[in-house]
Amino acid sequence: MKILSCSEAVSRMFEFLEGIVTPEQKKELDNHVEECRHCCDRFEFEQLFKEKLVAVASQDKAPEKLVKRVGKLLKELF
Amino acid sequence: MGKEKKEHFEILLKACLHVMYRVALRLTRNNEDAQDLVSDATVLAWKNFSKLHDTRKFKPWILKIVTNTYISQYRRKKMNPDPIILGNKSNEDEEFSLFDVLSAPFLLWNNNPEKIFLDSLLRQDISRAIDELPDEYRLVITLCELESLPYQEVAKTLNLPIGTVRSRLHRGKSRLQKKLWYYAKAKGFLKPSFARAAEGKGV
Repeated sequence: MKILSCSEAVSRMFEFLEGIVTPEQKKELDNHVEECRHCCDRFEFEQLFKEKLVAVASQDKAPEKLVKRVGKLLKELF
Repeated sequence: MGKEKKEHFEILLKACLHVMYRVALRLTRNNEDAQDLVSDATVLAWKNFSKLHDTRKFKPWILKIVTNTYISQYRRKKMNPDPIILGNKSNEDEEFSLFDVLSAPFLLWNNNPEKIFLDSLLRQDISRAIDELPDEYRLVITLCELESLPYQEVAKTLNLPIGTVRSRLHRGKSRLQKKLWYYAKAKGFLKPSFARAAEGKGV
């Protein structure tokens, strides 16, 4: 198993957040953040940042006006 | 098309209406345009519904239609041109990490400054920061980061290599963090001593 440098760990954490790491690559990242306080804190921050973005974006709901408009449109299309 | 097919389309579309609107709103940056875009995409989706063989893939399929409709129709109109970029445009693409500016050693007395900073960000600040990104970054951040679509789907939708999608996502997130840092400073979220200290790090 590879021992990651801090810059490799940062790249790996972004890849993890993008959902493209293998279990072994995740283990390499885990090994690094267990030993490195700075990268551990950064990993936590980047996860929180992504959660915040997704939470904010998911609050937008289709307005009632649009729901009615699409309902009417479907009747016309069918 | 048969009644069953129509009902199936209606169920699938209504289940995706909120996500279609969210994506349309991020792309057009305007409520009225977003609603028009969703309506236009609905018409196109119905016309092409028979070509969708696996309806489990309805969500990425419909978001692709929303995105392509935006690219082919709305973007051309330039109804909402990209806003003026905050900060120094020449260094806009320089790597920026909020974590790095918030985690300076001299701030360790402060209990978890990164979390305090994130908690202080308001919904409108984040929405505005996303809206101010140029199209090339806003599209990939919306589809990959906010709606968690796989890279392959986003690459196909935007007709880009996967590597380009990833690099745009990375640069887009860097820009986003930089904008949020500017907002935090401008709105006084950060104590003057905090902001000045971080400025000393070259921000």
